[in-house]
Amino acid sequence: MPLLEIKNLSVQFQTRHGIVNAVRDVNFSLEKGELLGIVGESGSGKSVGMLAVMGLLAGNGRITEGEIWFNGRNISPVAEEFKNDPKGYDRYMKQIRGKDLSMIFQDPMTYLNPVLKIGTQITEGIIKHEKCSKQEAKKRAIALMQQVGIPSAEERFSQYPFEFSGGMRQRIVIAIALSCNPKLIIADEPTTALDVTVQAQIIDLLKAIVKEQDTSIIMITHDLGVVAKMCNSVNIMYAGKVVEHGTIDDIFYRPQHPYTKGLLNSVKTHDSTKRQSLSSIPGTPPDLLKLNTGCAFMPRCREAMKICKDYLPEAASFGEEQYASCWHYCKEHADRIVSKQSERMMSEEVS
Amino acid sequence: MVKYIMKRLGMGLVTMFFLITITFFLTRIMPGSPFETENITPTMLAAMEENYGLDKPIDQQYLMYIKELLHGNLGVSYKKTGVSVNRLISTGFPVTLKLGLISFAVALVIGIMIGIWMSVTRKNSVRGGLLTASTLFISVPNFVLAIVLMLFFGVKLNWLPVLWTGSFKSYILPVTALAVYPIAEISRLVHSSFSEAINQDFVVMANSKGLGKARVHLVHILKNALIPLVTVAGPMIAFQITGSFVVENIFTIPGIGKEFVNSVNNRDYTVIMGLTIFVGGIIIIANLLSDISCALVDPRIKLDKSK
Ligand SMILES: Nc1ncnc2c1ncn2[C@@H]1O[C@H](COP(=O)(O)OP(=O)(O)OP(=O)(O)O)[C@@H](O)[C@H]1O
Ligand code: SF4
Ligand SMILES: [Mg+2]
Repeated sequence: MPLLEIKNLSVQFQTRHGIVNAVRDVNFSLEKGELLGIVGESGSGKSVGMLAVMGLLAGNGRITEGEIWFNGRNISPVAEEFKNDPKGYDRYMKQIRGKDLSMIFQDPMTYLNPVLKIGTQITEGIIKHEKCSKQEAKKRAIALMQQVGIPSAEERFSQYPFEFSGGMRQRIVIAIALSCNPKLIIADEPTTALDVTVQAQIIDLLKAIVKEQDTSIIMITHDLGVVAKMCNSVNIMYAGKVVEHGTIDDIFYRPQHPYTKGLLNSVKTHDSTKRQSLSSIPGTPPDLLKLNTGCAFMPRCREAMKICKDYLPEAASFGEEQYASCWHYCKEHADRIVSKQSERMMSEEVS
Repeated sequence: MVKYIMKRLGMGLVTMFFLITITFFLTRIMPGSPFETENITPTMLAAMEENYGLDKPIDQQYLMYIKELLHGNLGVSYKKTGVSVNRLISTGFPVTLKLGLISFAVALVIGIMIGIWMSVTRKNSVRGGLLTASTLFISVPNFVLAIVLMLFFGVKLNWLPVLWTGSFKSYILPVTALAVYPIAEISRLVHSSFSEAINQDFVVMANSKGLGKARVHLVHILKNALIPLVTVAGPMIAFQITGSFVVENIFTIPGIGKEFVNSVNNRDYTVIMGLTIFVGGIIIIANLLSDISCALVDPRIKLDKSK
């Protein structure tokens, strides 16, 4: 049984300009001990998808559909068990958040509370979940700080975030995520705010953690280089959908989806000393408020066909793990797919 | 930190000096003499003025005053024969201080609670109602409220005493009159800073640890939300103490407020000056204390200022 299995997950935001479908029908799974990368341009729904798993969506966001199987239980707020019991959902999530499931955030400047001591911020989760005394929690916190490479941890325990450098703060955030030996850590661009040498240290640290502890990591990043260094497999996201999934080798040597190919090209053609950026694919990321009904990548796709605009392609498999959603690989089933989607559209229009 | 406090104290002394000088000369410019009454003869008037040194040139009077002041002596009242200003303050101020601090403490507790309530309620009608009420009460002067409360609860319903007795009951109306404005002010302040803090990233992080709602709200958010409150708390306390003068008069409370109003009516120069200097000192010290407490609450400030 996979540690995490996500089925048909969709997330919506209510905004002044209309409804934003930030995550659209996402499916993937993660085995114990696996390191999964999630890659995509800004706004593709990487963070929102994972915040939805954590149950930490902003107030205007909600999961409209989908199953989130974690550790054998469906922790989606729309699951049978929870859909009429939001309080029960809340209670259960508070039990596992920070314990079995924890998150490392992108910007250690803003995610640490500026007016609370570092020690307090590390120990509070331990005290809550492990039901241990303050002294016990402090001992563990200092050990954690040493584990993530913070020198003179004992002294620094009673300092405030502003007394730490960016890299040190990110180590603190990692220590907090690790504090209760979680089964899964979601790391949302943990290195983006840091300079290159610190980035490498943090990546090594995360790799060491996975090796030492029985932890899985989902690594959200813009940077294919980070994925190549760390992960076993990758989800490529575009406009709220996972358009391709595969092992590192699949994605780097046998990319199938035109968007993945574009990403790889943009990395290759870049001067390797410069910061690699994904936005070098011609065209702009899609406006989620004005998506076509078909493949969202169509306006920027060099291989686009007529059918791409109005109808969604289905996922096609390549080998054991890899799959990609592009009309080039599901053309044979075009009739079936098109009639299915037209039917659905018609019934939606009626209702 | 110590250097910063010394600097602020020095600035406070300079401010005090200007305050003393200006009030001194202003009271002398005020038309009329403190001893002028309808049936006083010019010779008696001259004798009285000589007795209190008012016949001397003004610069000499000023120097004498400063000299006495440096010895902590604020002079004697011209009107209440034989009563020193120090004595007036030492009997009246404890009453004023107690009233001010009680009303501030009440305002702090209630204001913070209402502020949090406004921020976390999901009912827009509750939030809107509280906001409107606070806007309304900010613009009502405390003496108007004092009169209204007195007429309603004291005279009409006869629930609470109208005149001061020093009992617990006689505190209720003046404290209420004094607390309403700071409650409105504090609740609005807490509401705006709390609603801002609630959307910060560190709240997401706190929630990601699985912490309970109480801890996230009362430790993580409130501690941040109180920083702006601490910056205004000092001046607010000073205002609570000094702003109660008219209310004291309405409820016949024997604090320094009553003395102040009397002294102005009577042209009792030394009392006016003594109380002005005293109140000025309180305001300056309150401001200094509030800056220090800011540094204690917000650890980031310490560093900036010690540099
Ligand atoms: N609270 C919100 N209200 C409305 N829209 C939102 C909200 N949060 C996110 N979105 C929208 O959801 C989409 C996906 O956002 P998300 O943060 O997941 O992007 P991302 O892939 O993590 O991008 P980045 O690389 O910039 O972090 C974006 O279009 C964003 O504007
Ligand atoms: S479905 Fe069409 S538009 Fe979308 S990626 Fe494939 S070819 Fe390009
Ligand atoms: Mg993101």
